[in-house]
Amino acid sequence: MDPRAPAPPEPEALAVPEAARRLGRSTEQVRRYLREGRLRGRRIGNQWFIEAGALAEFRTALAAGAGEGAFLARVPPGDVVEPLAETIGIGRGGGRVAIADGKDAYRRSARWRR
Amino acid sequence: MTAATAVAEPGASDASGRAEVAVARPEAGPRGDDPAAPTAAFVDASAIVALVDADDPAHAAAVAAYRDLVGDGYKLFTTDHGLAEAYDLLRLGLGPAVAGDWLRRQRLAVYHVDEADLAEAQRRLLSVGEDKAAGPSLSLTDALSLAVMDRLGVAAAFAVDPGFLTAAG
Repeated sequence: MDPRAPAPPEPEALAVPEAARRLGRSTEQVRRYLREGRLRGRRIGNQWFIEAGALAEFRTALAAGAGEGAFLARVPPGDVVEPLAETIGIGRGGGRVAIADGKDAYRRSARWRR
Repeated sequence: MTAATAVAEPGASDASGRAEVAVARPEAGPRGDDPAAPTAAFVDASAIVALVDADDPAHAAAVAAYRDLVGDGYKLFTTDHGLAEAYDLLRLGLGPAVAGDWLRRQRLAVYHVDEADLAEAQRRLLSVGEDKAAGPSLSLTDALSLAVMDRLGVAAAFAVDPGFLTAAG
C-alpha cells in the first residue's frame, strides 16, 4: 500500500440526534435500535455514530414494511374512518366519577360508589 | 416521547381550573422527510372514557380534542392492552351494557404488543421512581403504551389521565 496515497474519504457519520431527525423517530428510539443491533453504528465513548449508508438501508427496511412502520401504514387517517364517532356520549355516568382524576382514582371511585 | 409538547386543547379546563384533557403532540411528528404524510396519535383509555361518558366533566373537552385530531387526519390507534383497559374502565364506571356497546361500535386500529414491547415496558417500570410501599408508579398497561409509542415513533397521545400525560410528556 502506497503510504503517500490519500486516505479514502471517511463515510459520513451521523450523531444520534441527526439520525433521529432523518428517520422521524425519537433519539431514545434510535439508541434502542442501536443497542438491539437493528441499526448499525459505532460507539465512541458514550456517543453513537451512524454511517449515512447504514441509515439509508434501515430507512428502506422500515419503508418496505420490515419494521414497525408496517402497522401505521395500515391505519387509515382519522378523517377517513372516524374510529370513535359512533361511541361519543353513548354512556351516562351521572357525573359520579371523573376520568380526569386519573384511571386509578376512577377505578377506586367507581368501585366505592357501586 | 421526549419530543412531545403537552398542548392544552380547547376547553382544556373546567370552571375549577382543573386540567381536563390534553393532547401531547410532537414538535416534529413521525413523518420522516415527508411533511405531507399523516401523523399518528395513541389513544389512551382515559380519553375513551371521557368521550363515551356524556356526564364526565372532561367530556366536552375530549370531544373537541377528538374532532381536532380527526380533522387533522391523525391516524388514531391503541394497543390490545389499551383496548382491554378501556373496556374494563367503561364496565366499571358505566356498566357492562355500555362497555359492550362501545366494544361493538368502536373502530380503533389495535396494535398487538409482543415480547419486545413487554421487555421494554418492564425496563421502564423498573427504571422509573418506585415507591417502596406502593411499587412502580406507572401501571404496566401505561408502560406498554409508552413502549409501543416509542417503538412506532409516535409522539402524540390523546389522554385525559394526568399520570399518563406526565409520563408521556
